[in-house]
Amino acid sequence: MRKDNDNSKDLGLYCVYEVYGLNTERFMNAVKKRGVTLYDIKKYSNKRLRLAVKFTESQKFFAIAEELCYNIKKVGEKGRAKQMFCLFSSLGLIIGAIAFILIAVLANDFILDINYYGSGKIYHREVQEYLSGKGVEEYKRFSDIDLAMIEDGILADNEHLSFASCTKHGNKLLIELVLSSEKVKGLNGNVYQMHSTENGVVESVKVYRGTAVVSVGDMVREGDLLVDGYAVIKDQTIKINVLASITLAVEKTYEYKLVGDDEQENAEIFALAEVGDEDIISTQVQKIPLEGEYLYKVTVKYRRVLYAG
Amino acid sequence: MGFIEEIKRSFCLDQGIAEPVYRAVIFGDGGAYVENVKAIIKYSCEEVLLSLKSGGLKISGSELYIKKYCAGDVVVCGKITTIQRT
Repeated sequence: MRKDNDNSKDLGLYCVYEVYGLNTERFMNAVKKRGVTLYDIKKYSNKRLRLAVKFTESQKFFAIAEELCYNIKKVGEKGRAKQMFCLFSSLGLIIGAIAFILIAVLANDFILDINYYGSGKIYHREVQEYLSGKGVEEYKRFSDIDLAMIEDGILADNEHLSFASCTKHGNKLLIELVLSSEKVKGLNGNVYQMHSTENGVVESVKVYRGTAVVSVGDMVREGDLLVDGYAVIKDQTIKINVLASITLAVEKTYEYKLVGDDEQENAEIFALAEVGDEDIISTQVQKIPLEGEYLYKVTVKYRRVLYAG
Repeated sequence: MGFIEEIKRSFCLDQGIAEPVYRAVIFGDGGAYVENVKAIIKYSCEEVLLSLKSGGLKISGSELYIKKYCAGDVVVCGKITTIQRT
């Protein structure tokens, strides 16, 4: 086969046209005579022809068709460079799409909202304080925080929670909090007086409703009135229910008769077991020898919080 | 002796006669390449009539289409049944 005589560059891209008119053979011969190579010529009817021309010769082809008074219509492109051509012809669209994707990726990394849910939601203020201390706040980035570490930190910081989960949902940080299985006492609203259940010294008084009859430092005995259910409003005394919490420093002594002379530690353990889950202030063990055994006196000082409501 | 010279001798073309006015190469039943074509006289799916420098060439068949048409060369593809000189 002879080499192509045309010097046009082969970009691997061809434009496909349809030619309408009578005597399409005359058109083909005229175009060929003017140096334009035609490819894939197919005749669909006497007046309709489809052919392909190199992309670089499109303008020349248009001019020839116009001169010969034939109607032509561009159908599309073909060739190995077709995809690149489509890409460059809509470059603005491509740039816009890339910019959108970049912005979406960056924007998705920011925390726009923090939501708390679950049975432990009532402690959301404490959790929020903890998170703020760790730099987890709105408008911070997800990529700067370790969610697993945050979950462990929330549990360690709040003893009332048994489970915490932090998940990213779009731009929201969802925090699920579950209360521990300890039974939480509810308020019944029917308490009109608060009495002491222990002998001790008042350490703190918190009265939300009612009137305190003791103050910090007072010595109280079991059964003493601590908070009374009334309030004085504009010289009127109104009966109300009590809502209060009072902390007493309580001291108790436990005695154990044991055979060994080195049982201080065991005696202390027994005493602490009897006290229970209270906040221990101090313990003191005294050993008194008896006939053949020893008496261990364990004095435990602890805080007891009394609630009414 | 060169290959072309041998061909010319077999066709008695070596005695001062001018170069062949056209050259046609047939690829099985699927296509034909013709050189030194002046113009396409008629083109349809069943028949392609080419004008050569002296005379013409008729290619008959079915589903014919012109793969390439440039200065002097034509490549016709499709189911070619007959090629005859006119």
